[in-house]
Amino acid sequence: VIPCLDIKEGRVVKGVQFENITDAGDPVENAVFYDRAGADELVFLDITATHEERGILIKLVERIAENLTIPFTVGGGLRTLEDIIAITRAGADKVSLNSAAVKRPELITEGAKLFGSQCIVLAVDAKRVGSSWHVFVRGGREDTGLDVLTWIERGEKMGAGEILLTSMDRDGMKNGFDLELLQEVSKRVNIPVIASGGAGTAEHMADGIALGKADAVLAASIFHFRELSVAQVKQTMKDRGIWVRQ
Amino acid sequence: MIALIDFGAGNLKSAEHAFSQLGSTRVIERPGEITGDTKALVLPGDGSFRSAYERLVETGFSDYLKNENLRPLLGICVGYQLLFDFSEEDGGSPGLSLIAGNVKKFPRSVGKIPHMGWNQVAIKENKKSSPLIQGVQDDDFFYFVHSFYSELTPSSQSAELLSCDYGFPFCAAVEMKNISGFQFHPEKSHDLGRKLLKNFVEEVKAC
Repeated sequence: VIPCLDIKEGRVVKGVQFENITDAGDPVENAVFYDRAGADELVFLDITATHEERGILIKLVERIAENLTIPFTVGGGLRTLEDIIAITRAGADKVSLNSAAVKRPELITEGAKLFGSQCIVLAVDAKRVGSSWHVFVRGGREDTGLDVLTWIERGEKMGAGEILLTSMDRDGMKNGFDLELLQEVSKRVNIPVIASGGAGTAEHMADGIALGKADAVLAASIFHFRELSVAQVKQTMKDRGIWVRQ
Repeated sequence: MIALIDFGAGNLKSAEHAFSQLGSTRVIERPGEITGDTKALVLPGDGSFRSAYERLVETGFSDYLKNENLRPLLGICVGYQLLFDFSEEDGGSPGLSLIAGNVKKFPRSVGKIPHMGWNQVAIKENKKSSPLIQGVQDDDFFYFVHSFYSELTPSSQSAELLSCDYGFPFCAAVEMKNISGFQFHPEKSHDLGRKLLKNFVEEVKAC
């Protein structure tokens, strides 16, 4: 169970379908709260990272690393191998690549060579277009025309160790994960898939694992606004016979 | 003082933070930096076995550690694997040979590789009283990230403290005289992981 913290200018924020951003607090404070609350991992996505802000992000990653006792992933706007090195050196366990990997897939391979596949998470923002899903980049603003399933298979071959799969259609809607998308992706890869986008209840989270066949589930807003606790999600999973760390 | 050996692997920071909270900690790159007040050595971190071993040879740590039989040495993840004789990774490489055994790749049949995430351990028979694992109970969870596992030999079998299951049982923690190691990441395994590191530091202080 992975709470996700979207970061903008050093603060945690949350929007609906990638828009209407509202403030949800200090990242380190939030991170420690989730660490104590039983989260298994954390993901931090810098949603507005520009080159100038990279320094702020690195300082933040260092502070997070000092205060966490569980693994965490950092992503958002990482463009080069130097970015991957800087974030990893600052203490992140994994980095997630999105637009930069689409632009230059070799970046996945280069990062994996340097730090191992387990360090490279391929983040994919998927949106239904006709009868398939397309990969969107630049924070969901641009349709690449790439087919999600083809891209994910390629990502695994290039060396990605994990897939962070966000359904843009469901993001912030709280009506459950796109289970069909999850099933299709999970069928095709032999690396862990993290379900993201749409979970509104503990049952939705459990559905992601039990029905979507995801290996982990991620949510942001329902945790940040304290609508749901990590413990509640885990209890629901346990009740449904899902093997999860309590 | 605890010295963390930097062999160019990823994410040394987490281990450094975790040990710093338990006492005086330093990161070293050469055996020459080991001082009289260095009470224990730690080989932490992610990375590939082969490049890690090459770095240990280059820096002289490999010779140093092979002859070092007094100070406690703790290996974590790849650092744990380096304690053994040989690893299949990257076409094969010798290790430090401090504990007899080989490091092998998980077969595809076990499921997703790397074995990544939280998994449960079991305490080996007769090991419940080992000071290093005090506070750990059967079925407790620790955080694993690895594609290779260690296979002990009949002569080193008794060093196994904890086992884990991923398709089949494999060794998750060892202890033999002054040498110990964890295949999982104690520094990433919440309170229980921190407890293990505390156990190690306390054992060191008692030496």
